Amino acid sequence: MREAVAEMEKIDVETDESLMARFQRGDVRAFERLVERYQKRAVSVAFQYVHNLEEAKDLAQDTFVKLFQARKTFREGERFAPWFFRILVNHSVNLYRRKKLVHFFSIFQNENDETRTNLSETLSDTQDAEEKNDRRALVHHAISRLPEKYRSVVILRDIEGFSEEETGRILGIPKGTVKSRLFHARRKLKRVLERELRPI
Amino acid sequence: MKKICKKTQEKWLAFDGDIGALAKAFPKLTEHYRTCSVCQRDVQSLVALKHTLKAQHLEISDPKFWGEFQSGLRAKLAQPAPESLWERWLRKMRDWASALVFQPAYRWGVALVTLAFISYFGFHTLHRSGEVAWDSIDFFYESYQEASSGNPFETSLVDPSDVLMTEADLTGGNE
Repeated sequence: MREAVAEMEKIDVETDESLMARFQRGDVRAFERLVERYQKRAVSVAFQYVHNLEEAKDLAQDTFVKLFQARKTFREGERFAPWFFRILVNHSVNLYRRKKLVHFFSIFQNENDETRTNLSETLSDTQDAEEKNDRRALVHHAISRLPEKYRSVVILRDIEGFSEEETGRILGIPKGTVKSRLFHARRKLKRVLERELRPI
Repeated sequence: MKKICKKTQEKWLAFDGDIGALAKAFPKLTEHYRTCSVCQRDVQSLVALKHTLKAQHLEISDPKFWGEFQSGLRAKLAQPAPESLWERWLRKMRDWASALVFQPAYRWGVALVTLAFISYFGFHTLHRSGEVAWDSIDFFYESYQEASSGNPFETSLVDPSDVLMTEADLTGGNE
């Protein structure tokens, strides 16, 4: 029993990179451990782009599938989290663009209704939750109006809480650029939200 | 908005709300911030914005959702890996080639096309070679006739009457 606990602790303190190395050597349990570690954050990041829970779930799953298939391309010494989230962000941005294009050509599509239904199913149905969802949809709408380079920075840094350095690594830009983009994005968002949400 | 207010708000944003770091780098602006109500209001709204954005983070604790997530992932992993464009093209070519060889309809089609090809070009080849043969026979026949006639002027373009001297030429035409 003690040995099993010790084994569990050993697995828990194992870094992402060593799990990835084990996975590259063929240990599927290491992959499962990585999924458990990153699934929540992956779904949340994807959700910020598509604002639809089913699509976010699909995006996160697809990213794990890609990770599974492209495990050999992960180089030794590379950080796992930025590598993984770079795949996810690229995938999400592509889907977001496609959705936007479809939305542009479809005048009957009502994205907000769809989002509300999706969220209500997963979160609770109370009035408080409804208001929260409305507010969430409004903020999401404001974020979606930002240019793409600002949107990703806000999502990763302000919503998902990645550090400026991590955000830069995921997006492949220097820390200084992250800072300046954040500055402009927040200014724009503040202006939009002050108009739509009072008080923010 | 005053110039100093704008600068204070910009620096506050640039320092990501770290007032300690702002005070260290820009003591004058920090002092202004402490006394200016416009700047304080602006900073407050930025703090509120940061909280609003942080609240956007999605936290799903429903175990059913994560159970479905993992079973869906397992199902996706069990599927064969999607092909690249090049692989898809190669596979299509391979399928097409094998269909060509093994399927009776394709086989008959290919046989008919080949037959039509051979017939058409074969006929033309035979016909042309016939023409060549007849031409060459004519050529040799004419050559033989010219050679056997013994008349050297027969094939000449020069009129013999222009070349040969007549009796009148010899006598000077005075007779």
